[in-house]
Amino acid sequence: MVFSSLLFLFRFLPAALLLYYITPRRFKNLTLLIVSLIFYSWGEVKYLPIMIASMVIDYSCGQGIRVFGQNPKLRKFFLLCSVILNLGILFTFKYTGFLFENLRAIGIPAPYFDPTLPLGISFYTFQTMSYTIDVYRGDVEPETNFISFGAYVVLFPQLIAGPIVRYSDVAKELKSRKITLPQIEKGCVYFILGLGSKVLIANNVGSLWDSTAALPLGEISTPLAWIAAVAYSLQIYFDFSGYSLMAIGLGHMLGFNFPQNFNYPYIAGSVTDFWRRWHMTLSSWFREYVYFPLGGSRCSELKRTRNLFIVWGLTGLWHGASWNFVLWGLWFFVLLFFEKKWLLGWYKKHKAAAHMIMPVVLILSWVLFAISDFSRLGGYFGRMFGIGGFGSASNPLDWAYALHNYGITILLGIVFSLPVIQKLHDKAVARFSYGAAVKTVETALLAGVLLLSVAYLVDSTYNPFIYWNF
Amino acid sequence: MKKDKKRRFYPTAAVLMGFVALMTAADVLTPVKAFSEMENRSLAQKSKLSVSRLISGEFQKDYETYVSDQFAGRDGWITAKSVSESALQKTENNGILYGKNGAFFGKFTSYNQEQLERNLYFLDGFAKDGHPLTFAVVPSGYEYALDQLPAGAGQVDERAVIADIRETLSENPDIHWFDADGLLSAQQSEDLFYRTDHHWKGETAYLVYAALCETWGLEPARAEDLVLREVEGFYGTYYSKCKKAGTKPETLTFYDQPFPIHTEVLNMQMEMEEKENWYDASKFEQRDKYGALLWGNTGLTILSKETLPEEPKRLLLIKDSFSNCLAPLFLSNFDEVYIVDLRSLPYGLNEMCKTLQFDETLVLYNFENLESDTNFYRLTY
Repeated sequence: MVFSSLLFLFRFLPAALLLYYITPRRFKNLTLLIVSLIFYSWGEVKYLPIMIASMVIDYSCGQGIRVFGQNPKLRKFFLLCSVILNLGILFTFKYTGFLFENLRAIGIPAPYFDPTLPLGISFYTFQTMSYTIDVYRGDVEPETNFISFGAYVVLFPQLIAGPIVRYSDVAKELKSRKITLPQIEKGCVYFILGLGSKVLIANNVGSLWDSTAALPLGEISTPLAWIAAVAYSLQIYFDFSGYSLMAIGLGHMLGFNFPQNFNYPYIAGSVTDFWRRWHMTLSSWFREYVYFPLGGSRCSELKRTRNLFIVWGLTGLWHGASWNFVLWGLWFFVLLFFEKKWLLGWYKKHKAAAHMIMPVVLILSWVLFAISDFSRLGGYFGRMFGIGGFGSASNPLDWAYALHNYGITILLGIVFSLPVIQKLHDKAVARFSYGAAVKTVETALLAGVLLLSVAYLVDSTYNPFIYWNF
Repeated sequence: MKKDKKRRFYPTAAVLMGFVALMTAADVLTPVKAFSEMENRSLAQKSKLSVSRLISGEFQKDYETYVSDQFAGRDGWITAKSVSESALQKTENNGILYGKNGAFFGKFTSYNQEQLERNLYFLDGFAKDGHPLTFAVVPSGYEYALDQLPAGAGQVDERAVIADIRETLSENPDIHWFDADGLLSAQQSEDLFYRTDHHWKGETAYLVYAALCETWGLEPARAEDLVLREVEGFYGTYYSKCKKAGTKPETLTFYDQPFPIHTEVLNMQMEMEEKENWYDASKFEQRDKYGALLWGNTGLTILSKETLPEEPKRLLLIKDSFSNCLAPLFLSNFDEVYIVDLRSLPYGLNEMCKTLQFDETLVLYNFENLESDTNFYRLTY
C-alpha cells in the first residue's frame, strides 16, 4: 500500500487514525504495532514472518547487551548477531539474485533467484541496526517493552521509504508522547504538500521520462534527451521528497517528530552540499555507522580516500542491486574526491558558476541512475551530446511536442524545487504576522492541492513509485 | 467552558481530516455500480474474501481496483483532472491526442512490424489456397487530418506502410488490392471519421461500398435508395479513454436497407442465434453507440435477404469493427453476407469455406488492427 492511493487515503488512514486516537494512552503503541503490521502485510502476507523475525532479533540482541553489559565479549557477540542477521536478510533478498547473475556471467553455474523484495527492507534493516549499534555504544537505553520496540520497527509512516529514523530519534516519544492539535495541524500541512509533490508533480513529469526512455535511441533528439532527463530529475526529487514529507506529516499526526530528509537539494552549490540536502537521513546513517568508524576524515589522505570510496560504493549499492547503481555511487566518490581536494574552494569563489554547473552534473547523475542497461546508457549520453547528430530520425519536432505537453508542469516543478514559495510564505507571515488572512489563503491552497491530487489518483494512468524497491 | 486565549483554529487539520472522513463515508455508502457509461467499461466489483486469496494477495489487489473503480463521484473527479490537464496545455491523455479542431486521434507512434508480416503471410497463404480475395487496408483517421495533429506528435506514417504492403502482396495474383487510401484521400475532407471515435462515418463506409462494387463489376445501390439512420448523443471510444471535459457529442450515422434483414449471430454457446435486427438498438441508449452495430464484434454474423434464391449470391467478409457499418450495404448486391471477425471466432475458417461457395471474398482492416491482430492464423486451419 502506498500513501498516494485511494486505498490508503480513504480506507486505511481514517481507520488507523480513529483507532489510534480512541485508544487509551498506555495502549497506543499496541494499536500502532497492529495497524502497522496490517499495513506491512497488505501487499505480501508471506513476508510477515521476516518482519517479526527482524523485531525479535534486534529486541533480543538489545536485551542481551543490557543483561550481559559487563562482559565485553558477549556485548560484541550480540552486536555482531544483530548486524550479521540484519545484513543477512537484506543480502538474501536484495543482492543474492544479483550475485548469482554475475557468477553466471563469468561462467560459474548459479541458480536463478529473483524474489520480490519485502516491503521497505532497505529502510527498516538500517533502522534496526542503528538501534543495536547505539545500544552497544551506550548511546541509548535498550527498549525493554517488546510492543514499543515492535512499533518502532514497523511504524507505518516511514516503513516504505524513510526517512531512516534512528531509534535515538524517537526513543523518548516511544515512551511518552503528547499528541497536540498544533502538531496535528503541522502534520496535515506536510502530508498534503507531500501528496501534491508526488501525485501532481512527480507522476506528471515522470511519464515524459518513461515514454522517452522507451523510444529507440535514434528517435530521441538531443533537446528531447535533455528535457526528459530534467523531467526525471524532477520526478525522482518530488517522488522521494514527497513521500518523506507525507511520512513526516503522518508522524506528526501520531505524535512523533521524524528527522527532515530533504532540504532543497537542487540549490546546492557543490556535490558535497547536495548530499547534505538529499536523503539526509541516509547520508547521516552512512556517516555515523560506516564513515566515522572507519576513521572518517581524521586520518591519512590515503585512508580518507579509501573511506570515501567504501561509503560511496555502498551508498550506490544500497540504491539497488545493479552495476549502474554502483557506478552511480562511485561517480559521486570521484566528484566528492575532487571537490574535497580542489573544487570546493573554487566553487566558493565562483558561486554563480557553481550553481550553473551543479544542475548539469546532477542531471547527468540521474541519467546514470535511471538507465541500468550499460549500452543503452552510453547511447543515451551520446544522444545528450549529439553524437551521431542532434535530431530525431523519424520525428524532428519531438522536443517541441514534449515542451508543449510538459513545459508548464516542468516549470512548476522547477519553481517548487527552489525555495521560492517558502520565501514568499515567510514574507507574507512577516508582513501580516501569520494572521487569519495568511492562514486562510494557505488553507485554501492546500485544500486545492488535496482535491486535485485525489482527482489525479482517481484517474491515474501512471502512478509508479521509484523508491519502492529500495 | 474554559476560556482559553491561546485556543486557535486548526484549518488544515479540519480540511484534511474532515475531507477524508466525509469522502470515506460517502464512498462506503455509495451503491456499487456495474458499468461506467463515461469510460464505456465494466467496473470492478467487490473483492471476494478467502484465506487463500488473502495469502496470495489477490484479495488485496482486487480490493484496491474495486476502491478505485467504485470511488464516489468518480466521473466528477475524472472531469476535474481533465480540466486541470487542459490548463497545463496538455495535448494528450491516456493515449489520445487532441487535434487542433477539437477532434481526437489515437496516439500511434510505433507499430508491430513482425505481427504485420505474420498476418500478411497468413493472408497470402489463405488466398493461394483457393480463396481469391479483395484486400483493403484503411488508414486511421489522423492521416486525413494531419494539419490538426499537435506538432511533433510522431505518428506513424501509415500510408507509407500501406503502400509497402500493396507492393509486397502484388506478386500474389489471388489478392486483388483495393486502394482505400486513394479513395479516401480523393475526398479531401477532414470529415470522414468521427471526432470522438476511431471509426469512419456511415457516409464514408458508403463511399467504400460503392467503390468496391465497381471493382467487382456490380452496380452499387444509390444512396437515396438506402435509409440513412442517425443517432444523437454519440461519444466514441477515444472519448472513453481521454474523457476530456467539455467534449460535445456527435451523431452516429449508418446506412440501412429499406427491406428487413435476416440476422444470425454466433452466440456464447457457439450456436447461431437469430436476432430481430442487424443491430442492437438497446445500445443506442448508451454512450458508445457504435457498439450497437452488428451486435458488436461477434465471431460470425450472417446477414441475408428474407427469401433466398436456390443458388444465393454470397459474400465472405473478413473484418474488424470498421465493417460493422459497412456490411449490410452489400445486401443490395448479394443475397447473403457471411461476416467473420477473427478476434472472436472460436474455430478456423476451413470448415465453412469447404461447405459454402462465395462469389466474392473481402478482407477489410484498419491498419492499426492489421498490425496488432494475433488471430490471422485462423485463416489457415
